[in-house]
Amino acid sequence: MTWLRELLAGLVRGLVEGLKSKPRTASGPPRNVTNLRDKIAADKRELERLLGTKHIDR
Amino acid sequence: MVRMVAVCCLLLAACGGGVDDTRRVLDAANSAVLIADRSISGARDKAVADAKDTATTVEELRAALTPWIDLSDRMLRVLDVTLEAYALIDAGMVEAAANLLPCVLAELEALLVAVEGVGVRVPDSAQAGLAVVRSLVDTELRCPL
Repeated sequence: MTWLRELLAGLVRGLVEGLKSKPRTASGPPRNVTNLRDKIAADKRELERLLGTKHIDR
Repeated sequence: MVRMVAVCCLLLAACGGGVDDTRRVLDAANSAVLIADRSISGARDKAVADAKDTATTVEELRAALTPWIDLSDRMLRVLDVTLEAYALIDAGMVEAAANLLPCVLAELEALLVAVEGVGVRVPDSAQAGLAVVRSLVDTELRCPL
């Protein structure tokens, strides 16, 4: 039964290593969504800034 | 015992499917927003440059820029709803996230109409994203519209 014990130990070790090395990116919003939101918000701020300062420029 | 395990497996599979479907809708909606943003950027930059050169009053400038500010608002609304839904999924409230999907659909439809309203043709890929959202919301997730 030694081979069975070794097999099980190997499986457990492999599972632990696999879990350790697996990047945990499945949850949470994709980063590109938050980046896109930041970019659009910055574009909007720029348009509003232009609207707010144009009369001073002229 | 075996029956209980089988029921648990079915429940887990059902929950997993719900999360996958919901995430698929959210991802499709976000992709459509990304495509919309890319599509309008050229026209918006040109409109802003023209407005800077030709507008002589604040009112003229406001008339030129407001549609683009409104479009930004619409894109942000879609993204904010999807971000809220992602957060609900992470908190384990999949049903609450699914309940937001009709709202995602409505905001996305309004956004694409608004994009066409400023004279930019909505690319087929964005329309395809909208179709994915609509189809999943209408059929698989059976959310009331």
